[in-house]
Amino acid sequence: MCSLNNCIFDGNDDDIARNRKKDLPSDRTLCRKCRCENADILLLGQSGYCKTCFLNVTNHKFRAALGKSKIIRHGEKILIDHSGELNSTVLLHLIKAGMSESAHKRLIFETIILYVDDNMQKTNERSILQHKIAEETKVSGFNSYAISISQVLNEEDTWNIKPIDQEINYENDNRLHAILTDLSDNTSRTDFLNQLRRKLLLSAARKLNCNKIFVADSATNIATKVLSDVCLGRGAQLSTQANFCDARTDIKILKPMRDFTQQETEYHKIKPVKSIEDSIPATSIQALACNFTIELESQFSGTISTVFRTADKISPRSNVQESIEDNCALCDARLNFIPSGNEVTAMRAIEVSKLMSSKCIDTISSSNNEENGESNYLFTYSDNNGCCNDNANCNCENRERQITTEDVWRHLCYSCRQIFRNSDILHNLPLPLLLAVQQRAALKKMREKISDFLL
Amino acid sequence: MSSFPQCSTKCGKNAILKRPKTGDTLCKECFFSAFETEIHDTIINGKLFKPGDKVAIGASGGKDSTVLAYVLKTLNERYKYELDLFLLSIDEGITGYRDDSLKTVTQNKDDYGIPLKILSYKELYGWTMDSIVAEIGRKNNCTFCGVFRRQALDRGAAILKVDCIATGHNADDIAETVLMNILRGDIARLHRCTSVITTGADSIMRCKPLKYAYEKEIVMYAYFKNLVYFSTECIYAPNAYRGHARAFLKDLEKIRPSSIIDIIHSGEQLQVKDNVKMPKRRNCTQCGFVSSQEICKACVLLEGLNRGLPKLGIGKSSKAKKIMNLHMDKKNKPQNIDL
Repeated sequence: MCSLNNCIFDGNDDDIARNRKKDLPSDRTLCRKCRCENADILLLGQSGYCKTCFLNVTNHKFRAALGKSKIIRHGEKILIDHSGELNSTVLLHLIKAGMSESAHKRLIFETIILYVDDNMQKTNERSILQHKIAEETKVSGFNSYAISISQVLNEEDTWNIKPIDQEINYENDNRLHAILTDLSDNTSRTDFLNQLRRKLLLSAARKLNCNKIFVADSATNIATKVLSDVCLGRGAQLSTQANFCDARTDIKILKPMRDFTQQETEYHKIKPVKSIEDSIPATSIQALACNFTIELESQFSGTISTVFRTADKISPRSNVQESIEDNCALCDARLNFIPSGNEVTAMRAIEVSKLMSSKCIDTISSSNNEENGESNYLFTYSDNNGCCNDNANCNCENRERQITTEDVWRHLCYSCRQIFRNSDILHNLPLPLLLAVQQRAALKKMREKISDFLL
Repeated sequence: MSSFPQCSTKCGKNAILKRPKTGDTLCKECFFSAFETEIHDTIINGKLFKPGDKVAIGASGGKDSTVLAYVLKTLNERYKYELDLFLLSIDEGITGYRDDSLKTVTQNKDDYGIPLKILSYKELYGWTMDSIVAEIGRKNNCTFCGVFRRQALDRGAAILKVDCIATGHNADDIAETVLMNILRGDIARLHRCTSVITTGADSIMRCKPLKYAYEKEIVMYAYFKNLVYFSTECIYAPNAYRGHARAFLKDLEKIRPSSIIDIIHSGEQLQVKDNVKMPKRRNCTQCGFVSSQEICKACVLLEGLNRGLPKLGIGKSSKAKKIMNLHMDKKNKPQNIDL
């Protein structure tokens, strides 16, 4: 009797499924939209589109992402992070297409392109590459600029952002290269470069009077970054990675292509100026996470969108209202959440482990080791071994500065501290960041002084 | 000069191992002391136990539960926790795997003098894993085993009348679970999988004293203490999805050993946004144990097995619910007539 009932249920379900199938175009070789052209493009889990309809659909997707967000105002200046790779080339095309629409549908912002040159190893190719990008952006008709990533080591007001067809300033390349060599592994290097690049984009946008930045991250890029961030201990920052708008600072970083799959960008059939190199075997966590995501997606399609959607639903655990001084000086994310009371946390566990394997003791102090266990980090900052050995423009000798490693440590989040593990942080942290730390430390001191009178 | 470096605690002895967790070199005694003290710290600061608690140790005979039983017994005596310890084993009925590992548990019981209770799937559910696999095939069988074991531990704890179940989950397991829950989009579990204690109003408290202990260090501890454990991989496990997360974690550990604890840190630092709907914890309308659904997964899976529809609980839960409701209606109808 039971099985009879089941049969009816199953039968119903099958009927529904069959009806649904009839609704779909029976002939899979026709474009699902216009139903007259042959389908050239077959997306995963959908039926095919012809070339024209596919471009219409992706254009619409891009415009919808911008429209839904409702944060772009009329005539705003927006900086585009253009690397010359496929994704950002497609982004330029999408913007171009949006600009050439009829008046009532036209995109309403002003586009400024910035090319960040981070090819520090390849001195020969870099000028050729810049030249190619200059030609590409000239065709697009947007204002374009170029800057070397090593500029981030200078203070912001000394930067020179050059128009793309002029030669850019590489003076700090050797210095940046030395810092990277001093870091302990490739994971730290990649993470550090990513953070510096973000800092550079933000400052460049400020200098070029843009208050928003477009980056060309696709869903695949985001899923990869989410996974590697988890592995680096940046769990609290997943939402900034996945959300449309990253509003950690006054300048917002937007990801208008976050709903695009890698497949969709590839089907644009645009030949990018710069191709991405594969790093096999992976020597960094970021590369490993990338290979893993792509491999898993090929076996279980949907992995990328699941990871991306999951990160979109997450927020950092936080203490009550925090001010900017409480953000990490490097990544601008909130500093680590430390639960009230004596809860066990991974950070505490690491401290206990360090203590236990460096001192011969049988009992552990019940007080927080964060405060009293790190006194051995205390070095005073002196100018002759400081940040500016190779930097002639730097005028830090004139300033009386006393920053201790402890100060810097206190203003970095868990994961940014990992970058500088086993390296001299005072020597390796770029000057603007040291200044920021100093300023925050000073503000904090001031606040403590007047705390009795603050309401 | 000896080829061994000095112990980094400066105790004067030669080091015999390099800690995977911190990279320090330690001698045997300092390693034992560090390993045990770290677990003691987790227990004290996490407030895992109260004096006089009856604690069931979920014992499989594997390295984690063997080391957990040994360390809990040692710490209980050393620091006077005043705990009443029990070993609780679940016999899934896997020939060539669980029958052998239960022998190890029985030996642990004799060695450590802790009473042992074994519950089997056969007596709880009427099915052994062997017969379930025969029914469903080599895929998805970890779903059955995991769901059933979770509830079996609760039932065993109720029989023993304990206050708390201590499980042998180590840092690697937790990091793996964080990754798994992100890959599967399971935000509810992602939210709670890193907490050291899970508890609810009417469910038995569970805790993970080995939460911050690296798997490698657990093996080291067992090796240098000569603890006997059973180290065969489950014969049905190789096809599990978890294997992908595990392989990834092993690769990560090779590149940066701290990544295991970094992932746990990630899990601890995040929470689900306020506007996202989360499943609520409630009790199963059929068996009364904790569930996130009206009818718990164990009941759905069991119902499927008993009706010859083993895939019932695997796919979409809405379809399973329909069939289950139909079944409930039928059950209720004759009763109404009786009234």
